[in-house]
Amino acid sequence: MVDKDILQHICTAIETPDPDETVKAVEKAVDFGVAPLEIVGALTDGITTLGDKFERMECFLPELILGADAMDVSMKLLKPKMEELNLETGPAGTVVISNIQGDIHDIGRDIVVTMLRVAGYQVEDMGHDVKPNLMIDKALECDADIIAVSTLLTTSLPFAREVLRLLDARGLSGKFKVVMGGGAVTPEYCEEIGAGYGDNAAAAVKLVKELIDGGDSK
Amino acid sequence: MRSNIFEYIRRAQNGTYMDENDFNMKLFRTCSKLVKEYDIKFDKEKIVVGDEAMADRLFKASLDLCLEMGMFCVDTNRIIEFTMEELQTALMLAPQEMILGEGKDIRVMRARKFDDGYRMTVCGGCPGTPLPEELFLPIMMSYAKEPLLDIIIPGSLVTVDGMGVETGGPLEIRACRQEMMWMREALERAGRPGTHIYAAGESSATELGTLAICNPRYMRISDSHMIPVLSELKTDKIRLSRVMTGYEYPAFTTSLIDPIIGGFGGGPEGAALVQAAAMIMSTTVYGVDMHCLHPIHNKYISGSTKEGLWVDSITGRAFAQNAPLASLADAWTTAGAGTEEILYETAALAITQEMSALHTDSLGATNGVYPNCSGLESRFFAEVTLAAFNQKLTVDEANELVLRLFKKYEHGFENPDLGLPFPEVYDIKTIEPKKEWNDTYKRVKDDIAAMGLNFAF
Repeated sequence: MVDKDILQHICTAIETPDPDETVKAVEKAVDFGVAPLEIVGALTDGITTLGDKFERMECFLPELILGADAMDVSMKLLKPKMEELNLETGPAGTVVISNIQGDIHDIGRDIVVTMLRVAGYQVEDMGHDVKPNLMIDKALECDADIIAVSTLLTTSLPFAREVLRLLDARGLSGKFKVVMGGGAVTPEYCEEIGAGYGDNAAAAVKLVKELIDGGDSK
Repeated sequence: MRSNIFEYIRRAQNGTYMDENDFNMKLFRTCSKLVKEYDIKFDKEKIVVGDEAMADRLFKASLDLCLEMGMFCVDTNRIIEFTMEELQTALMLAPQEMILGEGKDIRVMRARKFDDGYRMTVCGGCPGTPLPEELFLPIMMSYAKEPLLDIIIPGSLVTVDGMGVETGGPLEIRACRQEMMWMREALERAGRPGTHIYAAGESSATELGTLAICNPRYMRISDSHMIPVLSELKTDKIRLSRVMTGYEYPAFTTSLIDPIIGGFGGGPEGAALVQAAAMIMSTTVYGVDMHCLHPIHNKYISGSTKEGLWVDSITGRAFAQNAPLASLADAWTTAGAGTEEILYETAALAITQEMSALHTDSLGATNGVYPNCSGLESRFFAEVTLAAFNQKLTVDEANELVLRLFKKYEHGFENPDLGLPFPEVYDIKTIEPKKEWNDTYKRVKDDIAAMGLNFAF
C-alpha cells in the first residue's frame, strides 16, 4: 500500500509537472526500497499522460520540457541502483537533431526534442542553422541511430538533401537513418531523397520508434 | 525612419545577458501570470471576439509583457529592454494611412478602427507557398486578374534553372529578383502595373534576398518587404540587417509575427499576448509600417482553427480600440484549391478578420506546403469580406456564422484534403478556373448565402 502511494506520488508529480517534487518522490521511493523498475514505470506513466495532455493542448511546451527535465534527473538518480541490479539503464536510442543550414525556426524542433526525450531517447540537439557535415560528424561521435532534420524554409530543403548526399560521399550510406519534418517538408520530398517523414511531433516520435525498434536503425 | 535603430542595435550588443532557455521559460511564467492577472480567457464558442473590456486588458497586458521580457537577440544572448515611453511613442508614431502602389492602382492602407466606415484592404496571393518555375507566372496571373484584390503577395520560387534555391546562397538573390520580375509582368499583363507588391522577395530567407531587390526594377519604394520577429519575442542580426536595408531604401515594411499556440507563450491566451507584444516591439525596434499576423496551432498549423481565429480576433480588437496599427492577418488553410473545405475555411477567416478590424495577408492553401492554390479562393475571400462589411454583421451574427462554417471543415484537420495543383483547377492558357472548380465555388457560395451572408453579386 505504501509502495502504491509512493508510486502514485511520483506519477502525479511528473504529470503536474513539478521537477523538485518528482525528485523528492523518487528519492523517497528509493529510501523505502521500492523496486527501481516500478519507479521507472510510475515515471513513464506520468510523463506519458503529460505527453497526451500536450497533444490535446491541455498543457504546453514549457510544461512538457519541465516534465522531460524531471524524467532526466530522476533517471540519473536511479542509474546506480539499476546498474547494481544489472538492469538496462541506457536510452532507447540516440537521435541527432537540428534545424538544417539556413533555418532558424526553433520551436517545432524544441517540441520534437522534448517529445523524443519524454519517449526515452537520448537526443543530441545541435540547435539551428547547422551544416549537413556537422550533423554527420555528431552522429558518428555519439554513435547515433537517427539523424533528424527539421526545416520550415523551402530554401533550406537543398541542405536537407545534402545530408543524404554527404552520407553517400563519405561512404556512410545506411549507417544512420535520416528522418525529416517541418513546414517545408512533404512526404513526397522525403520519398524522393530517401528520408523518413514525420508530419508532426507525435508522428516523428512514432517514426523514430519504428525505425529503432524495428531493428533496422543502422 | 521612425525607429531609433542604432540605439536598439546598441542594446542588442550590450543589453542584459540571458541564456535562451531561461528566456523561453521566463516568457511562459510571465505570460501565465499576466493572463491570470488580466483575466484573459479563450472561449471556443466565441471565436469572433466582441468583449471590448477583455481586448483592452489584452492590450495593457501586452505592454507589461514588453516591459518585463524585452526582445531577445539570439546572436548575442542580450535583451533589448524598453521603457514605457519608448513603446508608447512608437505606437503613437505608427502610420495611420499609407498610399500603397502607384498611379491609378494605388490603394490606401489604414490602421483600422471599428465603425470608421472603411472596409479591409484585401491582399491576394499565396504567401509562403513554394511555386515551381514553370508555374510561377500563370499562378500569379490568376491573382492579378482578380479586381477585388487590392494588393498582391507573391509565392516563393523554389528552383532557378532547375536548381533548388538555398538560404543565403547565390540563387536566393536570383530567386528574389526573378519573383519580382514575374510578379510585375503578371500585374502588367492584367493591366494594373502600379499595384502594391506586399512582402516583396518572398524567397528572401536572409538579408541577401531583400538587398538584391532594393532597386526600382524589382521592389519599388511603393512596395513593401517583410521583417520577421522570431518566435517568441526574438530577433537576430539578419532581421536587424533587414531593418537597416530599409534605412536608406524607404520601401514600406511589415513585420511577420508567428506565435505558436501551445508553445512558450502557452495556450491561445498566451499566444495572443505574445502576438500583441511582438506587434509593439516590431513597431518600436523595426519601425515597421504594417504587421503580418500568423498564429500557428502547434498541431494543425492552420489559422482556421478556433484557437487561431480567436487569437487574431482579440488581437485585432485590442489594437483597433487602443492603438490602431495596419495589421494584415495571414489566412492559412488546411485544405487546397479545388475543395469545398478551402472555401469554408476561407469564409470563416474572412469574416473573422473583417469583424476584428484586420486586413488580410491572403491565403496560404495547404498551410503553404503545396502549390495547390489559385486566384479563385482569393476572390472568394474578398467577396466574403465585402458581404460581411456591407451587411454590417454584428459580432454575435458573425460568430454564429463562423461556428457554422467551422463545422463544415473541422474534419479536415486530422485528414486534410490537399486539393489539386494549379494546372488541374485552372486552364493555364486562359488563366480561368476550370468548370469543376468554378462549380464548387458557386455551390459553396450558394450554401453560405443560404446561411445568411448577403453577397453583393
